Amino acid sequence: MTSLTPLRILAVGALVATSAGLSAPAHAAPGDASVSILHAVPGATVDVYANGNALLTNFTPGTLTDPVMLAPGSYDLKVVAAGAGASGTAVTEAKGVTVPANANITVVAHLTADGKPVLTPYVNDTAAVPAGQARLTVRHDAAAPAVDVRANGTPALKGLVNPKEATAVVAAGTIKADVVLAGTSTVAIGPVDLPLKEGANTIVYAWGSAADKNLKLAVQTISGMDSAPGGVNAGTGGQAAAGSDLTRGLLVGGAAVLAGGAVLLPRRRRRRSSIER
Amino acid sequence: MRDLGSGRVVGALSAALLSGGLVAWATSGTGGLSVGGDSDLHAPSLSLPDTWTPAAVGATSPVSPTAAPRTRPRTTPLGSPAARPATVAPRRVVAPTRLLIPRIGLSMPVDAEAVAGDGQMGLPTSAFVAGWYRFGPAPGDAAGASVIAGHVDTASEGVGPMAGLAGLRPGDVVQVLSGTTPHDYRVQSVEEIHKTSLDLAALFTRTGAPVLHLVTCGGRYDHVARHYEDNIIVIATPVS
Repeated sequence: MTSLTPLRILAVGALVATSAGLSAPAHAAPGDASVSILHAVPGATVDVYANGNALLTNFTPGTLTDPVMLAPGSYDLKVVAAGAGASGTAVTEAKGVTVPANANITVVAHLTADGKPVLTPYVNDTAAVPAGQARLTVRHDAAAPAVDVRANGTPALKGLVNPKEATAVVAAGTIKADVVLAGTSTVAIGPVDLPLKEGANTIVYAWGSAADKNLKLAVQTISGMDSAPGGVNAGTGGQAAAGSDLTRGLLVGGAAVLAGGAVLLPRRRRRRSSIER
Repeated sequence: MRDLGSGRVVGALSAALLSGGLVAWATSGTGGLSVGGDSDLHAPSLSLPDTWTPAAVGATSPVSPTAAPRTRPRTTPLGSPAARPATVAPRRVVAPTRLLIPRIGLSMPVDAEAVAGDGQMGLPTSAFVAGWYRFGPAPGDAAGASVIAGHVDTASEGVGPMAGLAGLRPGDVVQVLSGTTPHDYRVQSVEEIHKTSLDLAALFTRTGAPVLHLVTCGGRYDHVARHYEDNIIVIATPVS
């Protein structure tokens, strides 16, 4: 059912000569978007071009790039077999991909439901998560029918179809996650132990091909969207305040008594003795 | 019998009132305690922006919020971002287990705590056990504030060792043990901050220079609401 475009691997391990790259500054400018790329096409080692310039070389399936800061705008993305060059036959390509300012994006090279390589850009949700919670995102990027994602055996995200995503905010912690054919308990992937990191977005990609029996999960974690707890309520008895109130009361009262007494205390007068001369 | 004279009595009363008043003012609560200078925990609550951009160093790097000095994401040249297998990097945490403050004779076990049902930091039930906020940095981590807190008192136990925090001074030694690994700190400041003025984002920050925040309650106790009005916060920095 799947039909991957035959790959022409010209030079195993050859590095494509990089040009100056895209015309963006070496460090982030305000408004730049953060872009990661996930290679989720089984069996293909590829090079990735953006606007005709090499972005990534010898990219192997199941790997995820570190985020790159890109100026917002429109980009033509092209994936070719490793070493095929900028004008090589596209494994897949997408012209006019919009990268919005300040967005956090993952571009995924993956198979469609019926097995064709395609590029899908996803915007990653980085909104703040309440203290103690975690964001879970699941993206269906596999040549497979609709699936449910289960957490500890219970469907959490249901009826997911390629290339859609679903997201939920849940309690942080580790879950046993698996992927089943939608509405059934037929396990397609997993189960795996999946840590849902507090204050982060854990993004799970189902990828590969059901027909080729190489379905897998890839995971991307984006941190930094945590929230502080609402306070520290560290005292439920009030005795410390009472103790300090008592001490304070004694100090105030004591000071008053001392001051008043000092005024009242008669000075010792040297009384002349009637017999002094 | 000495005749004191009304003038003497008036003078005595005035002196009593004046001295008593001075002592009352000098020992008054909120904000009166601030040793070592004001921290930056008084700033208005910082709100997180709606979108974050992670630092360009690994997909799991934390982001610097506006609380700490703003760090620019480090970028790789666009020709070659690093790529790595898309798997979960498990968080290797070494939790603190004991808090020691020799000068005030404090030695308390430390439990890992999460978030309570009301959204505040979870705390051990007993005033004789301290809690470490498990979702934030741990002592020994490279960045951010490790937060260790404990009840100043509980209804059933009375006053506990955390009451001693208010008496700490800059320069005091604090040690946190993580199992057998010691982490040494020196107190920088001790403050009493009204809870409504407290910058919680800064108290629990996960970025910036590594620091230890010790937290308990103090100030006036509201008997109706059954909680204290202020937090006592000790900031201590690592001794390398």
